[in-house]
Amino acid sequence: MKLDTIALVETPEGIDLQAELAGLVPRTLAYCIDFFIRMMIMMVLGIIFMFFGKAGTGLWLILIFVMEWWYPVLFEVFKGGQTPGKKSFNIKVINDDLTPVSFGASLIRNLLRTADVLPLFYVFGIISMSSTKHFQRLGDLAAGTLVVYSEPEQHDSSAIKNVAAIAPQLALSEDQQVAFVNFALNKGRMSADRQAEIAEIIRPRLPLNTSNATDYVRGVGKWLLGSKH
Amino acid sequence: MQLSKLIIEPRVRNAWAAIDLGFTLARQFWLRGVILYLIVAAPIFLLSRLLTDEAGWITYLCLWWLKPLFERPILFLLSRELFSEKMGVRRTLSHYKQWLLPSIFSVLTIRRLSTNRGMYAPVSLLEQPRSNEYYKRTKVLGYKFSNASTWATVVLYHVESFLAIALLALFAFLFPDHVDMTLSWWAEVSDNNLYWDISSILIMAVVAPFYCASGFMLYICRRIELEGWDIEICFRDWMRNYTPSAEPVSGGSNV
Repeated sequence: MKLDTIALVETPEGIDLQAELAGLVPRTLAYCIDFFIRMMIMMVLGIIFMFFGKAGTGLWLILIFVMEWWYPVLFEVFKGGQTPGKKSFNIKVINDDLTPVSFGASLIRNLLRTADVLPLFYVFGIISMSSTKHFQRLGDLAAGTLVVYSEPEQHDSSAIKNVAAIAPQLALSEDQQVAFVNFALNKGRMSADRQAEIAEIIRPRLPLNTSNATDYVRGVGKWLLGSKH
Repeated sequence: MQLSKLIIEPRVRNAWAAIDLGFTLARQFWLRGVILYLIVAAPIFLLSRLLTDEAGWITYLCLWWLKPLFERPILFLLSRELFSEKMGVRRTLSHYKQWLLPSIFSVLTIRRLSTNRGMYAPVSLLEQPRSNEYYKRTKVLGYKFSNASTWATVVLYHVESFLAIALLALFAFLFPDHVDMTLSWWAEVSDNNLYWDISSILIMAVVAPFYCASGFMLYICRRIELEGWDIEICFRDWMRNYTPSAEPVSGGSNV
């Protein structure tokens, strides 16, 4: 079993679901963004409430309560598991069976911030996130939630704009199809030399009249992505 | 470098996921990393303490400045273990020439203050390019990744400081009868060199494997996508059980 950061769940129907777990660094930064947003709101409204005397102070205390305890819960439940900070890092909270986070779980994981924040600066949370297999802080462990990356919306297909799609004459396994597609999309901007080098590896598998292995593999990749011309 | 021996899943990842993978890797080799760090750092720390008895800050400056040096054996160990080569603490130490010498002067001088230190450390240690090639190389590697790599440095630097302060607070919470959390107590503790000395070096050692591994995985994941390791591995596996006669390949319609 190779090291990876994937949470795997098998459904009763025997289907494997997976999600890519998010760890300490992006989560800390997402928290900082949320923290900053909350502070700004409390500061601005605090200044406004100052003009309302004692009633203003009361309102401000209620605001602090809402911001502290309900801000993350409401966003997580109603905005697909994403607070604004999490959204900016493209991460979201889900239940550990990979279903959308439920109200109860979200409430528990956020109430238990009181445990993670101990003794200071979320240090228990930091230790827990760094040492558990699924990067869970104590609140996540109690609520049975995970923080994962959202699926990317759209792949960048600029690399195959001028490539002719080729229907493969070979039986390709799932892994091989992924490899062909990744080759075609060329996310890492491989050099032409490197592309040729990799494509030549499977030259004996390719049709005999293939002149340019790179173009063939890219073409098949494009075909696998659904383009038929 | 045999890609089939990689102990990580060679996928194309974004920079944040690369850092997360670093944490998973660090967990695997954490104890060895901490021991290696202490073996290298503790003697240097003691020595600088003895030499600069009056001005404590010099010791800390020293300790901080030499971090890349202390992290090198961990990085060396990770770079071998990544390709399934077993490296114990003793074995890593016995290869000291290989991890101590390469570009160590640049690493401790002009390359020291880079916020991408963790991600570029493997370039200095493993690729050992000349200085003008180094900048070209890091520019290519840093594309898309240098932002996250900087944040990893920032976050883990803060984690180190937080741990030191939080440890103290934990102590105060656990023994409320013996510690009264007043300003004078904090002042007393912050003057207590022994506490800061021991906790600083332990905390640095505890965090270092995570920082090294995150930087290393940023470097490796960038190379995976830059050089198509995932594709190469898949294609090579495919060719392994290939026999030309068993599976005739033809040119499409003319069969």
